[in-house]
Amino acid sequence: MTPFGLALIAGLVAAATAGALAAGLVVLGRAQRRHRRLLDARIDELARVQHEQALAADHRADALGRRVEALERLARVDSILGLIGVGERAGRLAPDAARRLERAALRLRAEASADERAA
Amino acid sequence: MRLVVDVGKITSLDGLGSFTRGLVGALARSAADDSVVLRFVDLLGAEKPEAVRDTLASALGESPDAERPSPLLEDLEELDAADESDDTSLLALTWQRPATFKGRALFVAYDLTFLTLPACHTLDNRIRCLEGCLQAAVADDLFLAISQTTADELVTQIGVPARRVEVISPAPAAAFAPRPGAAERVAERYGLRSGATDGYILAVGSLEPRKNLDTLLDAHELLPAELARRVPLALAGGGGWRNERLLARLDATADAGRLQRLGRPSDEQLADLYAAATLFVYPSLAEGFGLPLVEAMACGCPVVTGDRGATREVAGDAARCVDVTSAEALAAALRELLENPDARHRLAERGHERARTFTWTEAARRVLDAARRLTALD
Repeated sequence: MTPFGLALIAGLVAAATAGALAAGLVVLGRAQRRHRRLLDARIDELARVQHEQALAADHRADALGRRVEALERLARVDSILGLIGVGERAGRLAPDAARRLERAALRLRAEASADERAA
Repeated sequence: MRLVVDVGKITSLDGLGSFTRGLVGALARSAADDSVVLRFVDLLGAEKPEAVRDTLASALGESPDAERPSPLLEDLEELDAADESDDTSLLALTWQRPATFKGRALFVAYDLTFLTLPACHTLDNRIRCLEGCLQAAVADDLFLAISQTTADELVTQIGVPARRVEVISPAPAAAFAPRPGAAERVAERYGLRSGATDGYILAVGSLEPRKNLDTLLDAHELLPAELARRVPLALAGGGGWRNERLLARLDATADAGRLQRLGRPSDEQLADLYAAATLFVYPSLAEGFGLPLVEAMACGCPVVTGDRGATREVAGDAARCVDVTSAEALAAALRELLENPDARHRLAERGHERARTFTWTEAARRVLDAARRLTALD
């Protein structure tokens, strides 16, 4: 084999190797991009789920907050009814005033109960 | 005798805040050196101590950065057990009496509309005010009502014995007085005119049902179109509750050029607005006192207001009092006064004299007398 022939063969081998390498790199790039898209989609899905869970937790916290407020109102109305009883027994509230205040307190209680049920 | 004053709500923009600022300033000027102590009671944890301190400094007439602040400011602390001694009374200014406080208290009652006009209040407000009043009644506190109307309602609605109620009337702040140059300042700041043939009808108040602004808008619509155009409404105030429909109506009236919203002016700006107004109208359905009435009178502005309850009591014969539930009656009074400058002038003069009968110095004197009486009672 002449030196020219050897050089030609070496050149062809190098070109074939480079071609194979380039083709491999293209295939690898495609696989990586596909994998990245899969990962991105997975991340988006996880983020969406996390966001929905956070929103649901917020709604639950708001609902609990409203319920606590409603229960606190009911407790304060009960305290008012207790004060009317104590005031009447101690002679600090006249019986007719105590009955009128009791009716007002029971109206407050009915409204506070409706709020509590709505919460 | 030692008076411990709860200043927890001194920064409030409502009547409770202005009552606290006026009374604390007068108490500081009137009382002996160590007989008044300020305390910061904040049951809801909503107030900022720095803002309270700054507002207090202003009420006491000094700079918050003064090198040597007033001893009253230096001693500002939270209420504690030492304030429950036998010679001490708590001045409860915020509708609340701390449940753990075992000492004597002077409980300020502003109005009882949470019982007489419940539809005008939020549920929380009705609960808070009734709870406070009952705690005070059960503890046998001395009630300080801001008008005879409120004093009478404490007896009839809560059943407090009349001997446990005293009347302490508020007063306009120093800014509310005749204001030379007010018309020019109002024209420059708000674009409102105050001429011989045109002007504005001023209304002041938070945007809540009790202030009855709907009837005022109805009454203004009943005025002849030319008169209503020359004398539009100007409304100062904000906040409030249960006002969604009212807000929409105010916007529509403003768009039609019959109303100007002024926001929340400072005392100085509000005094200018009173002084330059053609009329001040206060159509509130019920008040504990109605401080804007005497503020307007002090600035020399003729007043139209309701003919019952505290507004009638405070106005005396120095305002045109009408049935404010009737838009027709209110419109007739407005028209009569708008078309009669002499009648407005006479009303303004009587109002100015009437306003001079309300002073914070007298209110502070009465509070200190009540505290001495309470100490002597037990």
